[in-house]
Amino acid sequence: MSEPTIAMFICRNARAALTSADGTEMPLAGVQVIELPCSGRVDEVMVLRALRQGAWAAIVVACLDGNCRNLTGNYQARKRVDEVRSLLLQLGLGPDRVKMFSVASNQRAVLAEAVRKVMDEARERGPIRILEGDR
Amino acid sequence: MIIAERKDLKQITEMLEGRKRVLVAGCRSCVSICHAGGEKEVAIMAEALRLKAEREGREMEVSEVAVERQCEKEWVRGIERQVAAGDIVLSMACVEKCGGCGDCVLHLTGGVCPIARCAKSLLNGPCGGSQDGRCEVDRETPCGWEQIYQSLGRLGRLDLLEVNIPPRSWLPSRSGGPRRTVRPSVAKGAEERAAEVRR
Amino acid sequence: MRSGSNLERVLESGRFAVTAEIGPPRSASSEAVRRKARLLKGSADAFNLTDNQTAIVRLSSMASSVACLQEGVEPVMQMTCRDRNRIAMQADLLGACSLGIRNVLCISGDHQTFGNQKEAKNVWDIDPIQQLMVFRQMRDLGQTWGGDGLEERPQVLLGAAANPFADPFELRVVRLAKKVNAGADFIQTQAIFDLDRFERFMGMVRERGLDRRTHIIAGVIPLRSANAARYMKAKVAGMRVPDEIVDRMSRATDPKKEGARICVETIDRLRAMEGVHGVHIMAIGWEEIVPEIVRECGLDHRP
Repeated sequence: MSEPTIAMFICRNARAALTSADGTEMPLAGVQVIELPCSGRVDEVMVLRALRQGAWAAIVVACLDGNCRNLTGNYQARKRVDEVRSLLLQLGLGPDRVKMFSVASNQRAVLAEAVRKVMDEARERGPIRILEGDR
Repeated sequence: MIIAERKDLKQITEMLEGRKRVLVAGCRSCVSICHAGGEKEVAIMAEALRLKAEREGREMEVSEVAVERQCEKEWVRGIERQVAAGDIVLSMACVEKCGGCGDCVLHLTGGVCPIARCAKSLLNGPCGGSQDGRCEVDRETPCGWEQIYQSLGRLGRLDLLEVNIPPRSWLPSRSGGPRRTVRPSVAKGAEERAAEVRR
Repeated sequence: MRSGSNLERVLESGRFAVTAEIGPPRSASSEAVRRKARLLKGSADAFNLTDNQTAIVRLSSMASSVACLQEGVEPVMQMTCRDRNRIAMQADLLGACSLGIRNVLCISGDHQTFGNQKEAKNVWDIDPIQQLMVFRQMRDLGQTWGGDGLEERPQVLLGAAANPFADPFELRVVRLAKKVNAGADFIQTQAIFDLDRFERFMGMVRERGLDRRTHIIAGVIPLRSANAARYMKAKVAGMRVPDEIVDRMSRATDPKKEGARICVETIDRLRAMEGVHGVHIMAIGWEEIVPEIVRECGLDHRP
């Protein structure tokens, strides 16, 4: 595996940020997009499973603070991401394999930059190895 | 009602060392209410164990189950077959008579709890008052350490009785003050509360 | 020398040690302890002061120990895990050592339901094995269990109890080994009437080489009456009194004399056993018999 694959869990309402005003989609080679009705739907099992099934990293994309259509979905997502990171640490894996970003639906550039950074980091780190968190 | 908290995964994976077929068993009563050992937590635990095993290139089959109440034989009987199929059960509930001490040692004591079953909650074996399998406090009460001894004998793990267990932490019990919600990812945070008030 | 105590000197010299028990009174005066100390002076190397035995409130073992020191006899301060948490235990060890107490016996203590204040909350924060670990760290590393350094280390000889007559039998020697590993310099056993079982126990002790790593002091109780023998046989948890002893006591025209004779015979047999380094005489409420027993055994003229 030379090119990284990452899993992106994204809120339906934030997903517009993947598309520009003229309707062109952001190039997402190596990114597996999983759309959720709200970022609050994400849980520890989903993220862990994505990593187990081969993703080099996972990101959760949520709406900006205070902008969740369901009031608190993005806050709940953040707590679960924190929990997954803690679990990875306890398992001896790198917690930085999982990140969360908050974007507005028109912040295409911000999201593109975030994805590019995660891709770069994943490429640098390589596939998940056990005990990487202990180093 | 018992309040529970998951052990550190590092400790759990050490306890499972060398096992190939693990059954993660949850309970839909007390530990489910405090988000420590219900169906959801069983799923998270199982997934975490699978991830670690697969990344280490180890063969480990992890299955999941949750019963209504692990502390009652009638309910546990329903999962007898799954238990028999595995080579270890990782219970996320209390199974035993539970003193709620918050730092379970059942893996060292053959599944019999010294905190709840020994009148003195001794951690290093029976006191001098244990006679004919009975407790010094009451001749009708079985000695908890006698039961631990029998159980470890059946499991072929009498070697565990030779090890000195150092003073334990009582922080997770009442000594740490009133209980708090234990799984941070389900506790309602300040920002959530604020968001709900705003609307 | 770990403690510089008289008991330690006797045990290290290889002489057969004698210890005896003094029960503190239900009183704010230590006079009863002093009287017994004067009576028993010279009959034993050190004297155990019990710590609220059978969970009945009495003059504290520390105050009683100090009274003994003032009378010129050496105390072994008993400390149960029933009434103190680790904080109080460490403080009491420092306090005891500051007052000149050099021997401490670590025990779990009778359950509070044996006493007359059954509704009390018990502690058992740590068990006697953990108590030994904590005290040894204080003495040998000069640190409290929490890791704080001590300006002055407690100089103390650490003792523990063993009961060869409790169950499960095979576990008794395992538990003794754990206590030795945790730091027990000497062991005082439960009262011995069933010598055959004690022989078997000592065999297992020698097999593990424990008699070379600690000093085993065998416990005896002089019986005053046949009823006392029957009571211990039937009611006291962790005691074994063979029928033969009960019969001898019931047949005797002078039970007190017979009780003392049985005690002397027992001590004679214990002295002949390899690995037994001393005897501990528990003459509960009958302390005046101790000098006579010691004399009969030829164990008087203590160093």
